[in-house]
Amino acid sequence: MEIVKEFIIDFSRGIFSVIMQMVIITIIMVVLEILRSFGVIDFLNKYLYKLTRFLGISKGASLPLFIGIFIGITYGAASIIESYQQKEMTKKDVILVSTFLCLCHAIIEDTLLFMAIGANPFIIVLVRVIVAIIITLVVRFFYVRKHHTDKLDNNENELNQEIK
Amino acid sequence: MKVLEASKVGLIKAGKTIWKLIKIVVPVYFFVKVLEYVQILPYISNLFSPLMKYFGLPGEAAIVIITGNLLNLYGGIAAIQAFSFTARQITIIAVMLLLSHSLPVETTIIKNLKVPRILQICIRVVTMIIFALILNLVWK
Repeated sequence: MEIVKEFIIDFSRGIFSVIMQMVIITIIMVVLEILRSFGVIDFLNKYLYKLTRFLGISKGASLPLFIGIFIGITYGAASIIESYQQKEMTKKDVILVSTFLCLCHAIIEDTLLFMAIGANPFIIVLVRVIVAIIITLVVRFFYVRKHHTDKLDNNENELNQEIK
Repeated sequence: MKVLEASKVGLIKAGKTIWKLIKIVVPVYFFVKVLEYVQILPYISNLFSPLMKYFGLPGEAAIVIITGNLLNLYGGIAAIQAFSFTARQITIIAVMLLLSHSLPVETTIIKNLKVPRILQICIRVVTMIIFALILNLVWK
């Protein structure tokens, strides 16, 4: 009986965290949509792109990347799905951003968790971000070699510069 | 009016995305729960504990790494608190766990973006091993 009771408590805790995630996804999506209607998304993408262009991703991919890095992988993935359907991201962007996010996500929450038990916060954040950048650049190198899309990438950059 | 319309679009999008994620994440969540209750993890950890010395960690760290990877970060942290590690050991464990954790759930989320699961596991586990080795050698 004890085990059954424990399982039920554990399970309801899990359901609660799933519901919380859904509420957060809904809030993020609605806020993003409102910001988009006022043109704030384009503004943010324009400035975040300056920080992320060396990873080889296009303009529309910067915001999902930052959402994933700071808030969490589930929310990053949700906003990647959304931008991809809006055709703001290419297939290459999806692969590069998800590689980055699978190594480095939710840095605020995760770092606080480990800080609480006595890990050195600077080392863990630094190692994580540097590792994610290195691996993303490696994946970019192989992706470009396999699909010969470096040209397309250059075209995209030119296009973005024209818009500026 | 603009805000109302945008909220409506946002709600519809949120519903679609949530359904897409829930369909794939909930079965995996069940799998992880079963794994936790079957208590197979200590046996797997015993296999890996001799390897821990290369990372500058005691053998017990294997159970922390295995739990964190196959269940989730909270499981790993609970396991850390069951043993007494030094601050250096905790930081190395933290780097390893942060690079690679909750593999069943997180690889399923990214698999939804058409990145193969096996590729993700390779990337995460290999980088975890390489950078923990480097950190152990560099940080004296």
